[in-house]
Amino acid sequence: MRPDFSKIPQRLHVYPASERAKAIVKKSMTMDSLFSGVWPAQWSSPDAPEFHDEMDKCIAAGFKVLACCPSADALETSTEPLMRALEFYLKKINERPDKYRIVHTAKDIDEAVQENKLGIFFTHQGTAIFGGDVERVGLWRALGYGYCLLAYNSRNTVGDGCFEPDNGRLTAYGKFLIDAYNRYGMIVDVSHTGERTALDAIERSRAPVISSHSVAKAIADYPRSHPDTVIKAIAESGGVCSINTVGAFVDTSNPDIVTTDMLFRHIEYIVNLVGIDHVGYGSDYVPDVTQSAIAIQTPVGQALFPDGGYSAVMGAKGTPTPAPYQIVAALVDKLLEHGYAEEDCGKFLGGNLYRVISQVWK
Amino acid sequence: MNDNPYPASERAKAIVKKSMTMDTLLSIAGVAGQQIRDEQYHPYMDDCIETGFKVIGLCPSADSGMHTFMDSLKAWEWHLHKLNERPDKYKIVRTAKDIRDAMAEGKLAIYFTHQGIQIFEQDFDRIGIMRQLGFGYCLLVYNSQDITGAGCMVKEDGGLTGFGKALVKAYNKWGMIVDVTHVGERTSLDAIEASSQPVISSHSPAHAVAPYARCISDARIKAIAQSGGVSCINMCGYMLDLSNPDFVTTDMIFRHIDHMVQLVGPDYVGLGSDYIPDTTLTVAISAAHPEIYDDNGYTVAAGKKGFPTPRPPDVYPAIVDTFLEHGYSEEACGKILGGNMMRVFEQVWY
Repeated sequence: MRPDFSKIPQRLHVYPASERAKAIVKKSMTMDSLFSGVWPAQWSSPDAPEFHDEMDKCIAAGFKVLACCPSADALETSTEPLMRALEFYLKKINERPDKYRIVHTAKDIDEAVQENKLGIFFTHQGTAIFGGDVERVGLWRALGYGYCLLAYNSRNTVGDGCFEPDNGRLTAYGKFLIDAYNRYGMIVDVSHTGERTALDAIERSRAPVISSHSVAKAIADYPRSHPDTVIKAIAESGGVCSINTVGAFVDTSNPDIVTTDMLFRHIEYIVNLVGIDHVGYGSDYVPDVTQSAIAIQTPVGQALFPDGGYSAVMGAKGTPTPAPYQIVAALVDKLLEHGYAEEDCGKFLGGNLYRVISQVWK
Repeated sequence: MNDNPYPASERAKAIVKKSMTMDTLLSIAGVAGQQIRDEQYHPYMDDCIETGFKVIGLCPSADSGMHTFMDSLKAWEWHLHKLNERPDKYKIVRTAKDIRDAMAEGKLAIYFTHQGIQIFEQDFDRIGIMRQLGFGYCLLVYNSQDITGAGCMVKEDGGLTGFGKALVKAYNKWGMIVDVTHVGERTSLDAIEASSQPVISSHSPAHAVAPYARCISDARIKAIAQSGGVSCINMCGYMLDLSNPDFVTTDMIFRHIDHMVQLVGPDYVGLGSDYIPDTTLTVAISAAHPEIYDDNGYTVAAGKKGFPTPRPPDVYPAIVDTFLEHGYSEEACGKILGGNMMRVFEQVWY
């Protein structure tokens, strides 16, 4: 029987939050810097949440901008499926043009907020979409892609992903690609990227570099997490390190339910390391986790996440990850409890990423 | 430019500068060296800016076997690469508001058009992708016959097909303006009827003035006007005047515009040059493949002359002088120069 992950404890859990925290989320430039939802894999099973319903929940919680991820390396990356994946999003956005706006610049975000529309931009987790043609970076920028990774877990033409034991360096092609990112205003994203490749990329980039959805290795010692070196280099570049909220990544006990305490430990660690101006929120939430949860337990999935079966256990549990609208206000309460000012909460929620967007997108 | 063969009055030049002046079809298909030399690119655009152009409909690709979807992307990428060399000068526009923003920022607004439908590969939702890339209108068919209907060179036009009707509806849904230049007569009229939005012809003269297959009939000009759209003349000599002239005069251009204005009024007429900065390759293709033009060698003869077409920044002010000489108001000049197209953009693009 095909498993149904729509009623796992994580999905049903309620995170109580104060009215004050809810209001802070609503009045801040709240963003999710990685809303997964690769199409068709993460939208299409019979238990899949409905697109507009998910977006309405994000809007109601106070989200202003979502970075939607239609595609990723290691899934199909030839032109046809990539276009189809983006078309899914465009079609949905076009169904309710009064609710959504594709944002290409910080000014577009400002206007979307004024028009009470949810700003949406896209991200591809990887570099295969460029097909070895660095000028194609401009094409994806024009289509509304705001940042892309350099490598997704494995080694590629750009450098090493975070699961490569050799921890190799940015390649010559990788350098040219970074230059093209800079030239076209595509933000460099070093999530999923190996340490040395990430550090080389940050050194090469003339613009601030981000990590859209990775936590601190010092708190959760897992290959997807960043060592201090990378977090510091991101901050020095003027960028943002956004935590993700995947249970198995934030807590190596591989929990069934993600707690705000656990997420807070990562935030606090990054803040202590580099300050409040360089931390952000990128859920890595997958609306329809069924196919991904199954896929990660297969030999191919385990080749992409070679961690001795740890991620397969995560998959078997349905990859517990709170939805952004489910947890964001409770997380703000946690920040308030620890003495963070409202302004600091706003920076974490999206103000910091907005600053980077203002600098890099054009 | 000192060697501009089209002298114009200061008044006409000022009208071009203060109007929403557009070229609805600048043909720079392919990549560097195919219809423009790399080093010509920015100087040409600077001439347009200097003359008073606010908006250019740039054509990186066309059906005809040369441009598959991937070829079109390559061509588009090359343009983007050029535009990105001077981000302070250019702005890619997707909405009428973007055009207003570009003007406020002192930038030349650029949108794209593909002459045909091959880029969609019969996938209606790809229209959304091309809209995102800044494509503002597309044809329904280019000269010959396709799944949507007949092009203007087809002798027997069977009208818009069922697929063609569905494609028109999809254009409407995505805010892609339907362009019936290069399209057959009956297929065009069917498309205008099928469209819930204004339809344009981006670059075709009047058939009543020059009875050539690429020119559009009075019936089509009227139907476009009734839809709220705009018929933009083009400026290729051999289409404006069947004598296949060596040089295009402003009188020749004016006759086509005035015919349309007399027919439907000044609110439904515009200008799309069809100018190709470097015609070397285009001429070579017409010489190498005479069989694709079923017109007794007429197009090939025009090719031998280099397809004479005036440079838009040279000729636009002189065209305005012909308007003024014939008693057109400054307001009417502004509408024809681009105000009418702006109205359509306001209605269709979102």
